[in-house]
Amino acid sequence: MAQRSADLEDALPGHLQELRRGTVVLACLAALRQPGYGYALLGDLEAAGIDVDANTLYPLLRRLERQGLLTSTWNTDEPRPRKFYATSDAGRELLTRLHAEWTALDAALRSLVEHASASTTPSSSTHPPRTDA
Amino acid sequence: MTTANSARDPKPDTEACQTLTDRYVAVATRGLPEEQRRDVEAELRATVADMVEAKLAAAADAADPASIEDTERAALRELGDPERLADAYRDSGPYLIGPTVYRSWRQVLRTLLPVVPPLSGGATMLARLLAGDDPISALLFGLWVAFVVACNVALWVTVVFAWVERSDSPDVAAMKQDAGADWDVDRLPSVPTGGRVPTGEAVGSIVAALLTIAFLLWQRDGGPFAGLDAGPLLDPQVWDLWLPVVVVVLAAGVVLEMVRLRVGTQRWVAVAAIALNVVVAVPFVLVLLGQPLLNVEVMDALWPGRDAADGTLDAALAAGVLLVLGWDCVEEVRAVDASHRSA
Repeated sequence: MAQRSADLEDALPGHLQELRRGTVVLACLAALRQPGYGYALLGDLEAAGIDVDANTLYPLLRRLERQGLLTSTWNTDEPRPRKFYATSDAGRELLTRLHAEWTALDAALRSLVEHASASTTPSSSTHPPRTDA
Repeated sequence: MTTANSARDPKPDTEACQTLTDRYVAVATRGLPEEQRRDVEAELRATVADMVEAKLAAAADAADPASIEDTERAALRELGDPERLADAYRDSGPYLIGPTVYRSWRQVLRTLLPVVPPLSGGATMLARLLAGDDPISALLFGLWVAFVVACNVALWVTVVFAWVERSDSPDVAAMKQDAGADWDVDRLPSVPTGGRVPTGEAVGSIVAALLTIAFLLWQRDGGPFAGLDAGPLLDPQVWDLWLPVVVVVLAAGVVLEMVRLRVGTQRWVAVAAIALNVVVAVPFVLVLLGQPLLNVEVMDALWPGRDAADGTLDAALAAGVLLVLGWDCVEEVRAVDASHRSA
């Protein structure tokens, strides 16, 4: 039993990363409806509970910009010039779609998890045991 | 978009002036197109400066005066490995040939490597033998050429694919996209119907055939008895006619074994192998019928007092060869039978 939980601890970070990967795009598009620069965005996302590395975020912003989902301007008003990103119209459109997908996924997973935990025997009549023909 | 004008001169005069940030940014933006590189560099510098500022502010609250360089160090550590950052900016992983072109690369190598090096090696060996080299050095030279050709094929195919992997051209991008897109159920390859061919056996046959060809060419100068200066080891009257035929048939046998390694045990391969054996058998049957096998002059030089009309040795050798050929035919039939039974 102890062995099994150790395996789980090993596997967990990888699975969590997989699960979170796509959500960073969603989070960026949502947060950048208010224009912001990389470092500030990093702080905003962290404050909102979205855990993302700077290593991942900066290249991602570039990619989204290349895809036309973000626009950028260099703000030189302050002594330190900063690159400000903002969600474009296409980005807003994508945000709506991705958010709808996220909601649908959430509902689907919720019903799956709750259904499974409600039934006492996991492989009941709906899932007959497989027989190898 | 206004162009980036970096706060500091990005090119320090001497090595001593380089800050950690300079070095970090240089690694992280390596390999980017110049325009993009400058933009990314300015953004990263601003980020590091922001991070350092935030850390210094936090440290000041804690009344723990940290040096600027220590703070910079901590900030860069937090940003992480600049190589990984560079990979992410370039949108490519730390690999030579990525998943999109890997299969095409493997396919090209699998097509070229079994064909080009053996052909060039074999051709070289044959040319050397015809030019009068002894078979051992001809064989070694042929193997060396095959090895060098194999290395070159592998190198240049890899170089081209590595370039394709890194090319920004839209044509290449489209090609990469196509590579996996046009798959269809119809393209499933058929599994070799026959049983698996023991690779060792096939390779053994190929080597044996090549050695035999080498020997047949070598013996024209007397082979191991070249010192006697009595002409070819095999009787020239019979073998001037049959030698080219046997050499060609043996070469065909080599090709057939290669095909067999590819397609598995198939009836038509066995039939072809038996047919080749039958052709090789013809001159030896003629020997059994009274034709000479060995060159009389060489035999006389070896055994000066022997009975010149005695054909026992010739007949015994021919019978031995025919037995081997016959046994080979039986094996072919058995292999096909076995694969049919297991299928």
